[in-house]
Amino acid sequence: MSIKIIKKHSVNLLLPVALVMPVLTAAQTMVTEDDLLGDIQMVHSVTHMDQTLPETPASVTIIDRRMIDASPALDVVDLLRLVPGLQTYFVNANRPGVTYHTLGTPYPRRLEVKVDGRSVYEALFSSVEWNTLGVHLDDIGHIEVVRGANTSADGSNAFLASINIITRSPLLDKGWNLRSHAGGNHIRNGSLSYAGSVGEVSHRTSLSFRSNDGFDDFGDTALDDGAETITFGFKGLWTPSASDSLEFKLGMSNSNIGVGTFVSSSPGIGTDPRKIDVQYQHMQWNHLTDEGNKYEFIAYHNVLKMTDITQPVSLYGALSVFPDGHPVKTALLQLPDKVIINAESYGRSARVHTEFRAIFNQWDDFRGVTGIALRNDRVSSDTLFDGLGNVSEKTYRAYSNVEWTATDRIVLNGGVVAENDDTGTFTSYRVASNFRLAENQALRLAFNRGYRAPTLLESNQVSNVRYDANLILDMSVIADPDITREELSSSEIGYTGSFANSSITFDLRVFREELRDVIDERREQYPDVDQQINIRDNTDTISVEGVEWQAQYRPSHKVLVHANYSYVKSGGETLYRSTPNVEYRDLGGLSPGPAAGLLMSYMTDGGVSLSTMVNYQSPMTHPSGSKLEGYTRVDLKAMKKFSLNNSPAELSFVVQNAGTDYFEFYESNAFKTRYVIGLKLGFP
Amino acid sequence: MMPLAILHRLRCLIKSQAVCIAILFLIMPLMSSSSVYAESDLKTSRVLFVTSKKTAIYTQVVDLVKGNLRNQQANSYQFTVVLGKSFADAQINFSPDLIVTVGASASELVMKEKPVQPVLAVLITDSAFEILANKYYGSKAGAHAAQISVIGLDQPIERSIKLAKLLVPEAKIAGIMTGPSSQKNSAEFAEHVVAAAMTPKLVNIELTDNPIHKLEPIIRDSDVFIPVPDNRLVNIATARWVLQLSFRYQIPVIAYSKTYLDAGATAAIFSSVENVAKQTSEFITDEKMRIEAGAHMPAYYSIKFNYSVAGNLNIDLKTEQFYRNKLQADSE
Repeated sequence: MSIKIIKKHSVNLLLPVALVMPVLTAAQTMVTEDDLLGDIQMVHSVTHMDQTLPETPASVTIIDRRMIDASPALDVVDLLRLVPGLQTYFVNANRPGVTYHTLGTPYPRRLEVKVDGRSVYEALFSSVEWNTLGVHLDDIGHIEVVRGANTSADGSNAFLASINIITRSPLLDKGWNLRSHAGGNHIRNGSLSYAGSVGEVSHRTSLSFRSNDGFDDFGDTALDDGAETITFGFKGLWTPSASDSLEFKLGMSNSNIGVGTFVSSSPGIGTDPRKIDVQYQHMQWNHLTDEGNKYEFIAYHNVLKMTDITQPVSLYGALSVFPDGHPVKTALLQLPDKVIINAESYGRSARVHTEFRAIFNQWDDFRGVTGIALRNDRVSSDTLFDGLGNVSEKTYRAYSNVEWTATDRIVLNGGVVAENDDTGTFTSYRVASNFRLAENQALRLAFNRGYRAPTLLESNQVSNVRYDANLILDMSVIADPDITREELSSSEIGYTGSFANSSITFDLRVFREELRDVIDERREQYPDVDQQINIRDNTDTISVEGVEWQAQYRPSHKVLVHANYSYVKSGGETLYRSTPNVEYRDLGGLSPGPAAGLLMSYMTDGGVSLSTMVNYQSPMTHPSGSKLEGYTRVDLKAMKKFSLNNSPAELSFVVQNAGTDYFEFYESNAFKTRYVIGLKLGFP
Repeated sequence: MMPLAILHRLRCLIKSQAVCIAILFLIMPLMSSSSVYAESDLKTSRVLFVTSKKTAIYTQVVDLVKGNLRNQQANSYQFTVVLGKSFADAQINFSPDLIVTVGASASELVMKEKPVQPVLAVLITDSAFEILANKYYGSKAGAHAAQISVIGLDQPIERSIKLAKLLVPEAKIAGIMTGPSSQKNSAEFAEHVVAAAMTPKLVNIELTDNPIHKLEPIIRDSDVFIPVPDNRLVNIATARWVLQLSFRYQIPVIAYSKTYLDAGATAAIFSSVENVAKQTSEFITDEKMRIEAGAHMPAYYSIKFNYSVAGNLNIDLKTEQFYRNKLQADSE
């Protein structure tokens, strides 16, 4: 974007920033009641201010360390089954998908996922490659899931919801830690980490390896969806003064991930593992002022490189699927044979993000956060962006969120974000009012209007099979040049409460979400071999409504019960075909219906922890997936901590899906019972 | 299955965005009307509450005090509650017999006016009161001479030290963290640690210090760790590191607030809103205390435990009453 455009939009962009005007006051040097009685600030992700749950303008699920330890989960996606309204599924064994309420496609695009505030939503597929995150359960401090649109804090990607994974501080561990899992599906996971300090820098450095064979073959069809991943991560922490801290992280991973024959670009041809290399660098500086304000500066750089290796396909080989005498075959056989699908295709995406944020806590009844961010995404791929070379986009974002304690019973929240990218400038906002019904109980009314700009892929995709520079054999997908942003309007009534000295918590959300101009694909006639082209365009209108709740009971450190339930009903229509006839199709069949989860954990006096996690999903069909029966999955875990030659040790045994097989996304993905044994050893 | 009828009704409620926003803003003034502010009850003795803010803690203190007094002498008091900024008008219009300031900024606004009526400052730390007394009356003694009394909010540190020893009887070394405001009391803190049969390890964190670098060796070498409340910047800036390092070295932290406890400390001893309200009520009904102005240390305290953290540290917690009895016995 040019300087002129920046100037043109500067007024719009900076308006949200102007909403929070800092007024400097004299430094407060005395210790006041605020220092002793300050609230428990638990949630950061909703507005970027630290808020208690009754103050937040959205429903939030916190998965803390105790829940992680208690759960039989083996990876992050398993944990997200504890969040009401979140759909988690496996397109193949190593391609998890996560979405909120709707649009659970193979590449779900409307959920912001961050690791320590770094967006890992990557631009090439416009989705999250969960397997390459390099975050294992032992690395996680806690997870905050904002259930509902969070564009006013996180921008366009947080269209339906946002997830922030907070990794463990280097200060929490010391010395060497060795962890491993082995079990069914040839699960072989291992990690070695060291926590210590170099000079004044505390750090945690880890190296890990994960592999599995993926789902079992489907009849005679090999699914080829196993994976191997090696990850290196470093997290450093330096506190030069009491009011300053600097965190810096870097990591890289190398993965060979079987994409599976059902999602390969050429089904049935056979696909070798996709090679994905990821690296990132991330730093965050925090500064506290005497007035209690906080300034944060964040910068990061993500790079993903992908290589697909398939069997090369020649022209004559491709034509063999046509019957002899077919006019297309006859015509093309006049051309000399040559390779039309190369054995190797590549893709690359890179993101540079910088952000400055100021959080103002200096006023009695009013708090605010304001920030500006600049993001540059650059992608390239020979199969997704034919002939376009590098495609890039700069996004500018300015936002403010404010919280006003209007009375002792009412907290009002407002947030607005202005974003500018290649589609222009657009503004999203959220207003919410929280009414304190009683101590630790609040009723929330909230309204969101958000926009999501087309991703680089959605606005630039050109996927085809060429014979040469002048002859396109098959044009599969292109983007409509007039594609525009999606729009969401959502309303909710929420309730949050805690009882019995906070040992019981309950959260309820009743919602209605209207999505317009949702980007999908429509079909058109096209003069190529199959006479059809898919065009990415604003084709769908979707409405979603329902209710979800979660409850937790923690009477002591030995007992934990967490239950969650959601009922999501969605409907709408899609412009399925625009030529030769206009055809709309109903989307009502994609409604997720009821889903529920239950985690129970009990620790015996002997230090043995016993847990079970039950998940129910009603029958449903994912977009592009199979129509699946409902299922109830039961996972079990037994774990014992002990001391081995004065070193802490932990032995665990996990059973995943203790009952009959169920199916994930496709009817070919049978999730069979898995037995996994785990061992952790510490050498402080 | 979802109760569809209920869902349908709720759906109707939120179906219209306009209705949702309208509800949001219509309910607000209705609920505001339930606020205690500007309430005036026609009773006999006139007590003016001046609060720093209109948030829950302040209104709870006021409501609890009013409730306690009404239960004891239902027809003896007349109350008015105002925010600090409205004090001058309220003083003229209400002509109080006693002014009760709730919070430091309310105390400052009242002390600045030097009212002729007796004043009781509550929900204020010793440090804040001392600064205000010096600023407006020259000294604490000067403030007391002007009929300004105070009930301190911060619990005496010896209670925390004794509780630490009760929780970890085998503890030999107690780490104590001070900050810019509390460092002057370090010697006194050390004496209390020695009196509890432990060796003190003191660390002072200034704003320019690297907190982790200074805290780590102290926490590593301690058997229990006690942070002393200081100004908010120091508290916020250090609490995270204190708790993380204490987790690393498996050291129990005895905190000074429920906030700190919920964030990961093992136990906390602090003045709750109920504790403050109870002592305030007793002050108001005690004619002698009202006349003989002075400083009162908190008579009551709350003890809370983080059972999850204690379990992780293999601390076998007894009942709260057990520790309360022990602390009471020690102080007698």
